[in-house]
Amino acid sequence: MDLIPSDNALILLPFLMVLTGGVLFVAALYVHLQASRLSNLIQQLLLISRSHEGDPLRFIPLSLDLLEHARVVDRAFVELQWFGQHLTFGQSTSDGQADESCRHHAIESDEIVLRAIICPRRKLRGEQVSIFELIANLWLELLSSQVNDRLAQIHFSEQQLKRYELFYKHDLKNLAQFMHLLSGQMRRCDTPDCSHALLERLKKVLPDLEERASRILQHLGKKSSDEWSGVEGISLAQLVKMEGRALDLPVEVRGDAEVFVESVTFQHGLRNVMENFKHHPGTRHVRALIETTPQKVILRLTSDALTGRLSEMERARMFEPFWTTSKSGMGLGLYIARQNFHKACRARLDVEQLDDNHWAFVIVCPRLGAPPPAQS
Amino acid sequence: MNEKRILLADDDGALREMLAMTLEMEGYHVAQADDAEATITALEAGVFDILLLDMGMPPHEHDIQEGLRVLEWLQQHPRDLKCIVLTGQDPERSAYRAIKAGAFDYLSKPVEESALLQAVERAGLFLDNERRLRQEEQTQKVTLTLPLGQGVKPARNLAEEQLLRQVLEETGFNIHETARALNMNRENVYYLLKKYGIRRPDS
Repeated sequence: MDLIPSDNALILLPFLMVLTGGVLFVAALYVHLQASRLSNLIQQLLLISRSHEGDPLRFIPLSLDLLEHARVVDRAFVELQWFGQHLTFGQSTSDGQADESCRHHAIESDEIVLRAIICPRRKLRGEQVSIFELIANLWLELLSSQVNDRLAQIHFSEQQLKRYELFYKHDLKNLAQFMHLLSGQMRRCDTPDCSHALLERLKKVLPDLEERASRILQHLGKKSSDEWSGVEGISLAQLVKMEGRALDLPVEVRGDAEVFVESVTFQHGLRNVMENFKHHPGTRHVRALIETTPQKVILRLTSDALTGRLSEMERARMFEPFWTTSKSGMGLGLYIARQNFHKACRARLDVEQLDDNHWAFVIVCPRLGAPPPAQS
Repeated sequence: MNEKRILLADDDGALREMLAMTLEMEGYHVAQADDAEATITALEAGVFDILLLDMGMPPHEHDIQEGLRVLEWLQQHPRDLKCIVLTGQDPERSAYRAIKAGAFDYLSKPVEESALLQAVERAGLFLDNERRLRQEEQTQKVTLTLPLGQGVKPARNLAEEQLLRQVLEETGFNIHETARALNMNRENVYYLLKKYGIRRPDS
């Protein structure tokens, strides 16, 4: 038996070793690159989530941009009902690709409804399936956390508002109690000494009383919508002019229509909208255009200050509660106005692009007939 | 002329002044406090017959916790007085808690002047007659809030504790006087102090 290796074998062995080494090197490089890419993607997702905490409208488009470059993700799509605005982000999966391999997620609350879907590239194998699972899980978790954070913020703000309301009710009750006692004192005080003592006491308490009264009056301007009732026919043109006068805003009205609405609720909504003009720098006068069709009455409110092209995102932001660019506002005006218009006559408040450079608030009110006369 | 001393606890200065004037015109002596801390300090320092207490005071004007704090202090440091709650808090939520914590009466703001004066008068009447009961019959009225279905032992303990607290307050924490008033020896008083975790106010 010949135990001495042939020349071919002597050449083949180092070659095989070099080849194995090469393969191992390439494999290690591949794993390293995959890990580094994955780690980079995760870090960026976490970073944008952290920097836009509780703000899904910013997180979603930024995260979709990132996912677009992830090699394992074919497409991701988010459908959002955001305080009455319908928004979509990413590529829809309506072409039938939304198969079993896609991951779905949904959140439903009163004012935010989210449906998200993320699909892997076709023919993913081995570690790529795991990478897709990891990224999909992380993205959906972050998305869910963003929406839940926003809902929690709103809930917290609502609680704060309730507390605020409690404060002013507290003041109001104390003031009512004060008035009861004062009127009792006035009735009983029939001597000059008593009147003098009462006057001295009143002088002492007046500053405190004045402060409380002004605090209450401030709040009375923002009545609860539960207080309104009573449908009546009103002239839209007159109402717009009246609100303009109340806010000291010059208003130019074209057209008119009678609408049957819960007038005070409607008026309250209109004031909330027109206050935007008041606070908008550069508003010289407001233009109101009233159009009627057999089914609806349309009121458009605009001014020279409402310029630019509004994106879907900006539209959604406008009606989002507690979202404001103003330092003094609470970001509730348009959100409440939308609710008030709906309550007043099932009207819809929205914004509309008039031309390339101007936009308007638009209130579309279904033409409701006069309410039946009250039966005696 | 009424000689009763009333402590007014309300954070609203204007209302407090007006309440004070209303009560002073009826002959009551009135002292004022604007928060729970000042109320407790006044109760520690002075002797009052009636406490007119607002439940919502700073820093929690919208809640009842400051008023409850005063009522709980009174449970721990019984005073010979009647507490009338006069508050703008939601009665559904606060009346139950206030009465459970020992309030004698509950008035919801805004209340008519006549109703307020009647409540104060009624509290004074109860106080006078309880004092008379103690003087003439050597009996002490003790009001207890007890759990049902746990036998009589908790009732006995609570009555014992409250009676001891009341007598200690009246005697200025004089153990000898307390033992004499309760007809027990001093060792027993010390035993009860330990049992109910009662400490001298200055310790």
